[in-house]
Amino acid sequence: MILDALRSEILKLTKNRWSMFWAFGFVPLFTLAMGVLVETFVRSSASAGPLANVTAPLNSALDGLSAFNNVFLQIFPIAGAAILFAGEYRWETWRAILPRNERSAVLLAKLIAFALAVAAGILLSGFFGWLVAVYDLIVLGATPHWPRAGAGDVILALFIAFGGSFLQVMASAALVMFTAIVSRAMIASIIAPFMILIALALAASRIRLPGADLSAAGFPSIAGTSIDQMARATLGDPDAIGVHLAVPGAGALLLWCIVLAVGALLLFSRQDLSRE
Amino acid sequence: MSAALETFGLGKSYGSGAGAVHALQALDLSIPRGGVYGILGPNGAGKSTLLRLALGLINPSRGTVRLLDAEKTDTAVLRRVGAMIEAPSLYPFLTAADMLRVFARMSGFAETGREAAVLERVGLTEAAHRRARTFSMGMRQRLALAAALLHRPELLILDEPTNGLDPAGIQEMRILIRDLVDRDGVTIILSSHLLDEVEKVCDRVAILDHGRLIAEGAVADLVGGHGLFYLDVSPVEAALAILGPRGKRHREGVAAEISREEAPALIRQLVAANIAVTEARWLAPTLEEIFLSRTGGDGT
Repeated sequence: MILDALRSEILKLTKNRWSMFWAFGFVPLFTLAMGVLVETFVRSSASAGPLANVTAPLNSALDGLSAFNNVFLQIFPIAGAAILFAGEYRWETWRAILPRNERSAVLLAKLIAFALAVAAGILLSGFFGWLVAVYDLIVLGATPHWPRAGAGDVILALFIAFGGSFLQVMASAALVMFTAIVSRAMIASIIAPFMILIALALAASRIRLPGADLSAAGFPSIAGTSIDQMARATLGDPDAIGVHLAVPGAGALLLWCIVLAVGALLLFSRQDLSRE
Repeated sequence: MSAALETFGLGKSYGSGAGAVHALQALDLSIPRGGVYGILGPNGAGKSTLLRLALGLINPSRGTVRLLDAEKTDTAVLRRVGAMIEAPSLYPFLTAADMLRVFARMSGFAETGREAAVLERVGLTEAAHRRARTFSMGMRQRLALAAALLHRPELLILDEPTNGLDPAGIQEMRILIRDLVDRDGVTIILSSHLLDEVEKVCDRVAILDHGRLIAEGAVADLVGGHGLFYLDVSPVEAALAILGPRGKRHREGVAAEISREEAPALIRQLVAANIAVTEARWLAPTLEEIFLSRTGGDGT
């Protein structure tokens, strides 16, 4: 049942190309464009010192992988999740779908389809981050800087950075899923989660990462940042901070995701669709 | 007898206390397999609520509903049903062909060429690669019907299927419905407020009003069982005096609510009273007249 629903959701997503671009393709492109602009500006700046002529392709890739962590850029995947979860209410299509498959299977398939799309977006963003460094090397003539970490640590660092971004966006998607089921409205499913994330990020900004206790890991932005810092520490960055919050942060993000998704599933399983 | 849809004390209420709205009240109904079954009723009678309950889109407040003799309404039984509830629900960004592929995958149904076949059956072959947002209401209705037919359902539930169709489209829909029943053996349950259409296409009907069942049976029985005996007589007042409460003015003469056995005696009685009888015939009421009289409208 869930595979049928997943195949259907993926087909629907691939045919909704414009929405797909804004939801999952814009952030990688933004990463590339901003990276190229910033590097060009830095290299051409008269005040740039000797360090400005060095570029670190792996760190640049990590920057790309963590672009989805940015609370403001999360509006794009949030809108994508809203199209998936609240779109059926907006277009009144639940009544065409639900006699064909189980409610839980359809909702989980949507979450998996989102996960696949956002995973592709994060990987693309990481690749574009690396491309910025390539631009820096080839076009601007920078000198490459490689970390002392071995190949295993490099792969682990990239995996950690990917996982941190992925978990953070999935927690936001679960929040959108829950809001969509409760509100049955597209706009509410975008605005409410986005405002909640901004409020949480503002609250988290008052916490100093180096000395923060474990409870701080409950804030999605702190969890995401600490996982990103762990990835940099794995590459041998001595300035990485808040690494002690990375594992509890990953657990907290996973918990956010599970609690909100299960809550949405429970509500939806008994929801009256007298009118979508 | 095998049933397509059965309800046992089925009820649905919205809200609670004095402000509660009872969309459906203790409905006991058995819709047999085979043929076209019409559900009639004015707005708010509970027609769409019944169909949504049957499809598991809403939960009953009381009672149970059984579809195709299955003990519970799960996906296994629902995949044997095709449905089109209220206005067609379509994804505006998909073409007609893609829409059918999305629905086919969701149903776990894979049959090469099926999408093209159903589009042809509803007359949308030319529009297969157009996006649904560009469709007229009639085309949307046809596409929703194609989606309902896609997985070869045993039972088709159609809520107001002729909404938005032009007269030619209504005629085609009527032919398609009869064709599905007579050629493919599909059972069809349709709700409509177009009584003329229901009378033309349905074998049996149920009339709902304020969430209650007020009449049910074969269309022929409902129409044939409530005839009026029309008499073109002069003077009318004298005839009305003889008929008493059984008679009323109708056109140029009177209409009498009597049984067939009483007709010869009545004519003899009128002639004996020197009343001229120039025409006498039975008036078969339309389904519309029965519907209006049962739901409190003026059926005469």
